[in-house]
Amino acid sequence: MSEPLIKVDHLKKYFPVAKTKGKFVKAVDDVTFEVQRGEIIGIVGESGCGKSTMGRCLMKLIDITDGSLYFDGQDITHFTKKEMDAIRSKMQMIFQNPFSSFNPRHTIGKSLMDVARHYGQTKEEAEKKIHELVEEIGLDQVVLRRRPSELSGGQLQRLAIARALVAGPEFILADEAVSALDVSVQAQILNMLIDLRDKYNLTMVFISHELTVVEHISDHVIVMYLGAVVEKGTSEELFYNPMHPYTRALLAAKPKETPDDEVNHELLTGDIPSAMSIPEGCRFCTRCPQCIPGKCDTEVPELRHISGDHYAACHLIKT
Amino acid sequence: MSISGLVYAVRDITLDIRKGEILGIVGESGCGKSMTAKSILRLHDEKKMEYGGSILLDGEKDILKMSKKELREMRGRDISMIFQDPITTLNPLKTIGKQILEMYQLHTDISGEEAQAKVLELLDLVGIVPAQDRFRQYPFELSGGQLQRVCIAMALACRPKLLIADEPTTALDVTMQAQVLDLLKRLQRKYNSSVLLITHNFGVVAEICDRIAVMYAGQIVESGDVREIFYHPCHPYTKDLIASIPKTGQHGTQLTTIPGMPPRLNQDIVGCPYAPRCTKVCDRCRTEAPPLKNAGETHEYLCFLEPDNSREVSA
Ligand SMILES: Nc1ncnc2c1ncn2[C@@H]1O[C@H](COP(=O)(O)OP(=O)(O)OP(=O)(O)O)[C@@H](O)[C@H]1O
Ligand SMILES: [Mg+2]
Repeated sequence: MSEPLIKVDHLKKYFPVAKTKGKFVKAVDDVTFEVQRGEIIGIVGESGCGKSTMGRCLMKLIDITDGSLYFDGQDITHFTKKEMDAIRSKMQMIFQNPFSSFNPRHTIGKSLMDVARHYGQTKEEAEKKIHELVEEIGLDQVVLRRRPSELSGGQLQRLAIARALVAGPEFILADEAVSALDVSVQAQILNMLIDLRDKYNLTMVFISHELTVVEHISDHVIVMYLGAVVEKGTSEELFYNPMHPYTRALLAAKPKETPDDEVNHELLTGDIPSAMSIPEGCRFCTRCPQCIPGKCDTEVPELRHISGDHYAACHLIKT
Repeated sequence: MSISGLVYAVRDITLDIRKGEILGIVGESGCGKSMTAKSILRLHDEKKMEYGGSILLDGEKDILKMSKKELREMRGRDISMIFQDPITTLNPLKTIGKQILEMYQLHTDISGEEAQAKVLELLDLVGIVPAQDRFRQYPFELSGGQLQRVCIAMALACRPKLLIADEPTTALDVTMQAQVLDLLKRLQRKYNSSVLLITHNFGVVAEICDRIAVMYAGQIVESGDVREIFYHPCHPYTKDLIASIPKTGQHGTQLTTIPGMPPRLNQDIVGCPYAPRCTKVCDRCRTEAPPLKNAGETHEYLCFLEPDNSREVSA
């Protein structure tokens, strides 16, 4: 296999807790994975498990506490802001709220032009590129003369994608990029992302708490719980043969697709523990229906290989 | 119920919510779902809106004819509402226990320790435990899912006849969503309340609704028993919506999309509002308003197409 575009190696992000010295929110706690070129990798998990923090580390929007991050074979863990600026055009982001991607006072055309100029394109290059992209995302060129308030959420989200593509990136981070959209618009955006990936050989990290959406778009999926990866594998391995009790519980919480679907909602009981006081041993043991006292609550399970690309961190899994 | 005025948000709607049922309203954003819900509680600024028609509670009292005082008494006691974002409902400066207590005392004569005991019981019921401790906590100390459960407790404090829930789980992740839906269903059964659930998530509808009304451009274009709508949709809009949902086991496939956008709610509409986006459109759809047709005892839709033409078994 060729060199991955992104390599995350034992990455940690701890936030200090205000007023309490030596106490940390372990938002991302020793995470390792790779993203191959042209691949879409999904990150799922409950609210607060560290998905967005992971994403912000990947983009180097926040400092990394420990571990390393490689982009295109280069160790960028300690890159300064200036060094990052030089490769920023290759890494772009799409957010949940498309309204926040654009300056409300500027026309869309100006916003896109500013981005292109920022990355050193000439006016002519930029105009050509923007024209192409607007076509690509299936909108009429008149949108360039509009301001954000005059456009719908779906139109704006497409334009946010165009904005991310202006710089000609290799990597795109999409954090809950379709979560606020209606199903009809969501379908358009998902189709578009897959088409764009195929066309430009883009590499993507797709963060979402909507499991079916992640299954639909991702080649590989990572399941996070309290800052750590508990299971990862191909979309198929993960959704059809989930091994970790947490992944199973997460999938069991998925709503039915149609009224007569047979589902077994074995609801997770209790609330997710605070990221400030992560349980000893397996971090899921306080909510795990299969917890083995004396083992699971003392020994930290390692992420072990199961088969193919499939890995899980659970003492119950025999390999 | 119909509303006219500055915005023709809801155009001539007829909707029955039966006792003890959960009715889901689905449709794209901007179709008038929340408008309809707010109209029932008359939460709109009435200087800017005019209502017409009637909204009958228990088949007799017309909400549109109620005085301010009657309205205040009705809200919370007969009809209560929960919103997408629980933070907007709760006062950040008061403990959650106190807020539920006030709601409760506003509509009942019970006071003092008895009322407090009731509130603790409610907290317990919605799984905010240990209730004694939680009673004294402030909203910022709870997670989004917990806050939504507090809102449900508050909304159900007086056992209303109707609970209106506007996108109650949209801000929650799947495990919280499952817990909140489970709770909503259990309490609705326990109190035999009616629930009007507004959502754009068909999974939520499949999970807990008895009936569905599909809204488009301020009208209900199709309504019926939940299974009828899922398995035998008749209106092209309903079919298109259902087809655009990603389904498990279809990784990477092309999803069906609906071209264009819903019309603005203040736009005048000639013919069928869905005609510009409909794949089954014919000439008369652009000039004539479509008729209301029956496709079974509980199933109605607004379209020229005959049920048999469009009756396809999905799933
Ligand atoms: N700047 C910060 N300072 C302190 N703690 C933070 C900060 N940012 C995030 N956290 C904490 O880190 C943990 C992970 O948060 P994060 O936003 O990454 O979760 P998430 O998985 O994206 O959740 P959601 O699904 O709700 O978006 C949480 O406990 C959060 O409170
Ligand atoms: Mg997030």
